[in-house]
Amino acid sequence: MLIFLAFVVLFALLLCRVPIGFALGLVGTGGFATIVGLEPALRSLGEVASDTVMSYDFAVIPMFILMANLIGRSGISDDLYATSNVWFGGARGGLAIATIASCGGFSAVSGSSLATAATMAKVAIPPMRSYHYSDTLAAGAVAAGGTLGILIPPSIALVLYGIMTQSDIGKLFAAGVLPGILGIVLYMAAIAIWVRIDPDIGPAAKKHSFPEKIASLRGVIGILALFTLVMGGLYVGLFTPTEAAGIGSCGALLITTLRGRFNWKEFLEVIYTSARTSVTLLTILIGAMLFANFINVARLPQTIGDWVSGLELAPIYVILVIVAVYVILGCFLESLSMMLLTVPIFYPIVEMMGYDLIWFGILVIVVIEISMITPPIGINIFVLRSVLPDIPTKTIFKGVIPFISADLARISLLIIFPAISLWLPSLMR
Amino acid sequence: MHFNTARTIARQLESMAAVVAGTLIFLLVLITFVDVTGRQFGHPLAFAFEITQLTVGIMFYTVLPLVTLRREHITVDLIAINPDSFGVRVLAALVNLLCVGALAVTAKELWRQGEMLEMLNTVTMFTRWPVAPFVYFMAVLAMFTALIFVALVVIDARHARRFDKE
Repeated sequence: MLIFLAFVVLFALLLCRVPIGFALGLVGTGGFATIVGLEPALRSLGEVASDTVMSYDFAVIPMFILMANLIGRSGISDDLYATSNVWFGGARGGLAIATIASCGGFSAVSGSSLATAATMAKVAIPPMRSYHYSDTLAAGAVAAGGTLGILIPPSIALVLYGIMTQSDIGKLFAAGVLPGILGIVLYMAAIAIWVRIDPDIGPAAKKHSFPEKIASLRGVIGILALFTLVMGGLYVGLFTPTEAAGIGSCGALLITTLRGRFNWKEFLEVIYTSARTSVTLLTILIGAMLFANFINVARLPQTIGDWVSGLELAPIYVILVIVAVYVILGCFLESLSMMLLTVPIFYPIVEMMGYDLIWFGILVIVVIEISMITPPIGINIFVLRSVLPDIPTKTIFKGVIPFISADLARISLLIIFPAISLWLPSLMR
Repeated sequence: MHFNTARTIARQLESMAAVVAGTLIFLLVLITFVDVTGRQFGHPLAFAFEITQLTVGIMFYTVLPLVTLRREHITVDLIAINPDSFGVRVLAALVNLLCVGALAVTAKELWRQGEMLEMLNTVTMFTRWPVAPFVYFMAVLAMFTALIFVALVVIDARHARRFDKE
């Protein structure tokens, strides 16, 4: 009853536009106080507000956000798109395929989907328009490609999940690589099928010779080097995720400087923006931790777990129900907030059923990727709208449908073959 | 105080805090870089871990008032509303006051936490710095953020009065 009441209050507060972090913190502390008493609840609030905030893991978030923002300003996305264009542009629908490849490449050095979508929209849409691609395909490819940023490491969403569930962030990053590549391949396949059905939407652009293709690879050396440094260092245990984020930020700064894009005014602006973005996310994370304390004391995961085992359902059905809940909630809630809101409830249940939390994390992130492009509040759609106001929202939503189908196929594959997520982390030291 | 003067002071404070926040985030990057590079040559920064912890804590509470002032906290916008309707204005003021309460309690608990750390004489492992002053500082900044929420209520009320006159 108390839990039910807590959820009612939480949703009422959210609907009244109480900031998500504050709403979670208030309900979490209030609920905790009802069960264990006011004094211990206030003590717990003090501890979370000091000890948890002064946590080494928290530092990873501002630094990865800084890295993403710096790389976004470096202009590297132009080179990335130019290279992808040389490789894929000659085929029908090739520029859209090149967009997906560029988004994948950009995601490898940027942990933010919004940064990926906003950057690639400016780079990829004009060439597609000049080759008379339909706006539906062009915008759909950018909006969907942008979602790759949330999964392909480094990923801010995976860091948040790791902190919430106390999972190894390095392993989560390793686990995100193959599902990310699978996402790229399936998106490309979706475009190939789409242009086969309707060839007018994506005519072939200029073809390039093989030597031209090899020469074009120069444009991706920076990204490749940075990704290898950050992920390689993390994978072989050379540094911790926090250190990887710091080194990645330095690398991004170096690339920006070498490309002649560095200026102090913009640098200060990027640092300030990154600090603010980090704090908005950390506020929700702190609220979610207080909420998680309450949920655990109230034994909600155990209660749901007992109820589920009473139903004698195969565990896989529970996973399918959780996925369905995410897809539905994702239509209405902002992606990262949704994750922070729900993971404390779901992860103990999933753990109790014997599933691997690393695998579940990847599954959650892929489902969240869908929420970034589903109506009515797919955040990537609005990012695209703000960069390209002349493309109607309806056109973009129409454009993402084939990519949502590709995502659903990916979720099925990840559930059927957990090794896609778990193989790379299993090789880590 | 005249409203415009208050606004000018707020802007200057924001610029100063922005520089501090930027410096802190850059410090995080620098410490990591020096530590990781030094480690390759057998000279890691022994205190990198604890300085990172303190820096991230201070950075969070320094930026919190700025995020609040700029109204950048993430909310759920499920229902389209008219921000100038009376009911919505009252609701927004109540929400801000709720946040004032939440932050005031947090600030008090942080202060208590600081007192406990002071009593236990808690210091950082390598630099031997006392931790309590940092937590006291965080408590002050949390209280300052509460005051920013109060300022938002006042700003909104003034805006509403001007809107009603027009």
